[in-house]
Amino acid sequence: MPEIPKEYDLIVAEKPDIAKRIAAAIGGNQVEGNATYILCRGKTNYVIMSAVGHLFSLAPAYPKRDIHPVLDLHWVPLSHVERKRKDIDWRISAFKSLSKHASKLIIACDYDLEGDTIGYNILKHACGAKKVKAFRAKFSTLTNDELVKSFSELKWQEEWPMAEAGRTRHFLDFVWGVNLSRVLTDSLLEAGGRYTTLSIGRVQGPALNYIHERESEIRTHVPVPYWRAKASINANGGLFPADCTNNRIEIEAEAKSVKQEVEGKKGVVVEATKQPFSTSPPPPFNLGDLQHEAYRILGLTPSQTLSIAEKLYLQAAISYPRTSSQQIPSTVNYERILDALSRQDSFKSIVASLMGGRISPIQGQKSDPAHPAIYPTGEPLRDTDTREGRLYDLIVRRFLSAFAKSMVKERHSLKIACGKCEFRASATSTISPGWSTIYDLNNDREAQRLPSLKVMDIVTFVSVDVVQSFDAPPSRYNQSTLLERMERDEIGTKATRAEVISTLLDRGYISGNSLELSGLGFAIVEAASKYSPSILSIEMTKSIERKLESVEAATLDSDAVTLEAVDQLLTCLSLFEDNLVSVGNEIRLAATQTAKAKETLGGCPVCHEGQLVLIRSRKSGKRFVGCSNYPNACKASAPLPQRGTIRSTKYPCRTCGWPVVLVFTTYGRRPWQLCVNTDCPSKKRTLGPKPIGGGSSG
Amino acid sequence: MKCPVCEKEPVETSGLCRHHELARISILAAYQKWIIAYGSMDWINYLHKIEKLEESGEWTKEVARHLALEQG
Repeated sequence: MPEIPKEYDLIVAEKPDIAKRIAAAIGGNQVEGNATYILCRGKTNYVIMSAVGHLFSLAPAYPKRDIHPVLDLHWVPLSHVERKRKDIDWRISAFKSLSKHASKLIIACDYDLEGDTIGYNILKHACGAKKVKAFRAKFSTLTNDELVKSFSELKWQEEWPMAEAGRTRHFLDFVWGVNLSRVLTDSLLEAGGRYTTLSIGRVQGPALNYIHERESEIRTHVPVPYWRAKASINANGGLFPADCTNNRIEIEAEAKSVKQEVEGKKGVVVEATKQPFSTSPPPPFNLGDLQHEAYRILGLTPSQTLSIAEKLYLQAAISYPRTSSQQIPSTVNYERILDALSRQDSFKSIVASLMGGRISPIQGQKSDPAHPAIYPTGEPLRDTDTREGRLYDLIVRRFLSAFAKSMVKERHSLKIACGKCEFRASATSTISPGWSTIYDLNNDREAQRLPSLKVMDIVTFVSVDVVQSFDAPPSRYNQSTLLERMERDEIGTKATRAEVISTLLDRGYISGNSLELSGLGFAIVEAASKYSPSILSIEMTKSIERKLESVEAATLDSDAVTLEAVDQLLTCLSLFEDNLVSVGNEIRLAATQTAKAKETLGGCPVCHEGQLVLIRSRKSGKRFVGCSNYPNACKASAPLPQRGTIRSTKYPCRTCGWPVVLVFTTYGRRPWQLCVNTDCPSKKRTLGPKPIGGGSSG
Repeated sequence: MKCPVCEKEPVETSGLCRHHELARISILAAYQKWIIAYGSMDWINYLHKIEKLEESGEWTKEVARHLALEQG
């Protein structure tokens, strides 16, 4: 390690990649070090030390597990909670020793709730500050220019309302999660069930309840018939379609009478309009909008999108993604970004086409005091043929479209009367595509053009089809629409909503792309609604969220919020505890079925009767796949990797028909896709399993 | 006595569980709309029709089948 200078300012970075970028931006080529960077700029020496996200975590103050409810918490090094983390303790020690001799402490963590909490905890628990005071660097991109600027405009900070709100949120999430999970798990054991990890929290509850309400509607749906009359009309020798203006005829006899009254008859045009309309470009992305569009266009789940966007931010390719803002202020140097993008092959022609468009980008309604909307920095991305590349392309196109001209279309509409019946035909045509050539939001196909007719023109109804339909049930939520609902009801935060949805999937409460509630999901919601309904209450969760926002804005004391939320928790807990066995009985059967379903990998391709299930050997403790029909002579079995979490894909290998599983070995890394059959012919072609997306499974 | 459709605990006077009782209420509520739509509709015929429609909910189909069998 290079020598630490006698006088220096200590910069606290949130992640190693960010530390490296700050070092490069401030120190240029004169940077020494690897994990710790030592550099000089002007007459000032800097030492940059990086965290790896949170270095501290909440833990119960009393290690005994039989003290409930757990409400007395303290912050401890993360390594005390996650024992395998070897990268925590030496960093805490380094912060401790480096802070002793530093002239200035500069927090350069992400400027948001989590970043402030990380920085504050390092100052308080690693550097031992009694009164936490430090300089704060604020930046929204990791470009050299912005980093240099942020270090030349450091703000002195004595009050840490964002960190206070962050720490309060961590506390509330911990006590709600731990205590409610324990009571659910205990109820299961009390009722004679086997140990299963169950959870419900103050955001999970209402989110799960949305799916429960929708699932109940779908399963109790009774379709009601209705009819629509569609005509084919002849005008000047050409045919065009028109729909009866009553697009929901609820009586069959009426629908039939429309056909009798109109078919083969003459009609008269009673209304003919051509109405141009323009549509402004969509506003720049905030995180929620990006997650919805990435789901719609690229098929990425909200948590995948967040994870990829963070990688792009660390590569300095885009601005900070955890933002609610749809606005890009004038302080962002648009000209420089447009100029940089014009030098990238993929965007050269688009930037050129913007000539004559808007001088500044269109702005959305939502703002965020901490960060602007997501925008590209202009730094080129090395590998564009990846998921990162595709998301980057989406972000750049959305940014560029914000400078483009409005899209202008024309709606042509005709109303034709025949006796008592009226039919309407309409078509939309594009006059000027504007921004839609850069970013196609609508994906709608243009309808057939209508003939040029004027009022009082006569046409002929060539044929009329009466089509019977039935009311469809409401659609299930997908990850994007559930996220949208959570945003609308303001439950959770932009950073945590995707994580909550992932937890519901992990617990087996919901499954599939169209989120279907499992038996366990039903049981949890129904037990909660029967014995402790406020857990599912949107109002309670929303009220806590609003108060946490007030703490963040320094208008409310965090203790008041904590006391109120803990009081609500204790009420929920006591209601559950009073009915422990009854709650357990409601959940037990569903929990057993869900656990069994998780262990079932697919049909047995050998006996075609049993199911291949995940089994752990009592003798060796090792896990393997075996047929459920084993006692009846099917000996199909195969070994499994002994490390990592195994999840069924629910589809068989295309080569041999054995189940394909996903093996999750490292947190945050993409899982391996594996056919469990060791003799699968596909394995002779490739060495080892393939990552998802790396090709066919068999 | 258990719910005759799924053998879960009944919660309503009909003897059905909470889920199937909800479906029964929906079936009863929609019957009038079907009568208006077609002019007339026999109850058993109605149950058979909604049992077969793909738009019908899972619990609706189960209750429709049960009610049809019950009525002979």
